[in-house]
Amino acid sequence: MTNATPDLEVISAFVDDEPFDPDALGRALATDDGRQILLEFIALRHVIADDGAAVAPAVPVRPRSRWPLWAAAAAVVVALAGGFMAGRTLERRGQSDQAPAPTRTVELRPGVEWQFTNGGR
Amino acid sequence: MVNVEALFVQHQERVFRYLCRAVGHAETARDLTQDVFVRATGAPTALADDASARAWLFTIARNLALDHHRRSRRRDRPLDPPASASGRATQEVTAAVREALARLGDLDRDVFLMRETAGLSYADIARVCALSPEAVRSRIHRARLELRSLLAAPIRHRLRGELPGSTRNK
Repeated sequence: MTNATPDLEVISAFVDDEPFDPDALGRALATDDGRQILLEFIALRHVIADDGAAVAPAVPVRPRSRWPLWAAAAAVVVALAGGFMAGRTLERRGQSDQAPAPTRTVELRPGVEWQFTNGGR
Repeated sequence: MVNVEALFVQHQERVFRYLCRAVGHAETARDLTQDVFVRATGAPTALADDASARAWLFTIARNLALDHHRRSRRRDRPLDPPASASGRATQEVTAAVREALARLGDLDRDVFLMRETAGLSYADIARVCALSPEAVRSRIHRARLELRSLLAAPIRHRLRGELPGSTRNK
């Protein structure tokens, strides 16, 4: 069976990176027809690919990720919470700087003995 | 449930490229690509692996393309206008490629396009089209031989390293 027609389908398997029998490929490429087919199949691939590139810009738009929206929302919440906390802290600090309101007033008048002797000397 | 968003990110470009060639019009292909993933959203089953997911998506895509062809034939509509391409020479090649693909048998065209435009393996294509991998190889080879004769001129130009239609200007 040495004169059998070589299996040229093996060339398709080869160009498609599929498993193939290396001996069968060798036999196929030993013929002029086999070599020509290999070249033309590769050229055909380029013709199809080049032509496909013409419509490539129409690739559907990838759905927009929701991440930026969530990030923006989270940033707003953090900013509001931070502002609220900072405000409360400052408010508390402002209150502690002031003297508390007096509950009792002691009046000191000149000429009045203000020291208690309580039966001393 | 299937994670359709992950499938979309991973496969939408391949699905679109396949549909673009299968229906011959970028706008229609874009709509059908969306339909593929809308249908995928409703699928209740989890897919075992990536190969199963690919096969499943392309089965949906192929069915949608076949439905589109059936509807177009029923309406006796002319082919959609070719997708916009730069230059008259490129448009001529585009038209020639479309015409050549249209002359292939439906199944031969599908297996060829799944391999050539979407990069599916013979095993993936076999799952989508319910064929054996050997049958896929035979059909792809047959499709290439037919396209080789139908697109002899662009192939010849390509082998000479010429741009499409450039010989006309010499």
